[in-house]
Amino acid sequence: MGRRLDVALAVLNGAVGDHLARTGNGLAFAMAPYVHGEPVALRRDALERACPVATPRIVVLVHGLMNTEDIFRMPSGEDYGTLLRSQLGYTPWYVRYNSGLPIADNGASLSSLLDALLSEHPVPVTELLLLGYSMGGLVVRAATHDAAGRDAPWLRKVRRAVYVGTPHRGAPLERAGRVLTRAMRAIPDPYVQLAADLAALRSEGLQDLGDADLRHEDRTRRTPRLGLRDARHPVPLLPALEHCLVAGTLSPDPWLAALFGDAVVPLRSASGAGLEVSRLRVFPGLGHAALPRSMEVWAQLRAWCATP
Amino acid sequence: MNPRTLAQLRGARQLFEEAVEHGSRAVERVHRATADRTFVVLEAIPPVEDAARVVHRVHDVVLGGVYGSVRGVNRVVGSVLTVVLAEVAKKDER
Repeated sequence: MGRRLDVALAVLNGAVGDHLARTGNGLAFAMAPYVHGEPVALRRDALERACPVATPRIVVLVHGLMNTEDIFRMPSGEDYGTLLRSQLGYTPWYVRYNSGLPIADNGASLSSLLDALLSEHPVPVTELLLLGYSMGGLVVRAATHDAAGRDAPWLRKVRRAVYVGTPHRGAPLERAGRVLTRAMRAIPDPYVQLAADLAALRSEGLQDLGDADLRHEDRTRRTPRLGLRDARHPVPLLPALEHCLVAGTLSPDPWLAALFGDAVVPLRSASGAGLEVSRLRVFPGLGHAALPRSMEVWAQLRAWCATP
Repeated sequence: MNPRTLAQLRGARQLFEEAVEHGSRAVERVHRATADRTFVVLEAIPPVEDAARVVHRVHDVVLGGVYGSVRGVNRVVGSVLTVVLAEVAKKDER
């Protein structure tokens, strides 16, 4: 029941989480590290209780839109975090957040959370690995952007960021929703207007996915068209970090892969076209839902993370 | 009761109340706009225009009353649930 309820609340947060937060609704998730489905306070004693054997190398896993940290769980019960702990000695922390909030807000919250996590961690942190799935990768990018702007100490501990199925150049499904809503608004029929009102309920976080808007100012440049807004993304990847990208495609066929990507994120977007990417691995035949819990992806993550 | 569960119950009550409030207003808007189309046609026909205007006004008053009463009942139910949840919270504190 607990897990099912969490999944239902995660969907609700992704769909209308901005409204929930604005109205102070108790169904909105507050960003926090979660262990066994419960939030952990960012105090040394609480972190020690949640993780009695913490190590100096930590990994922070950030889920995607309408997910919880449960999205990383494989059928065996393992996930990338537990595998990184058992095989490479990282302490995993799973962050849960309200994915309906603007990505810029979630990025700033993650940046503050990492400030507190590193200062209160049971043992001093020497390395911080960031791993984001889908929208979570954009939240990670927004957090690093925020940290670079205010010279946050935690950023100096990050050597590598891993993005799994992240729409770095936006998601055409959301852009199509934008075009459709605008088209419906132009039809003076009360039923169509009602449908347009319902379509416009999409959360700010969801709308940010259209062009991968990481900053509030990026949203003012939105256009109601299917194509990408710019040839280059307005927020570059931080050059000081190693950026490792994982992309999936539904079909091994190059034409189908280019056309449909992983069914949610196009290949060009997940492979960060126009961005200075350090490493990229494409998994033909792996769809968007399979990417956060795949042993094939894990083998690649292990190879990257085992490299000093 | 776990404070998180209580906050979620309060949130569910609030969201349900908002959904009924906004949903009823949206449906009322569609209902009114659809009915207006018919009345505009009838009010343009000389032999029935006066009668149509009267029916139109009566229709609008009844419409506002029906949807308004839905929202009224919704607010009453919401207030009762707020009191019940506050009592549960008080009981837990004791």
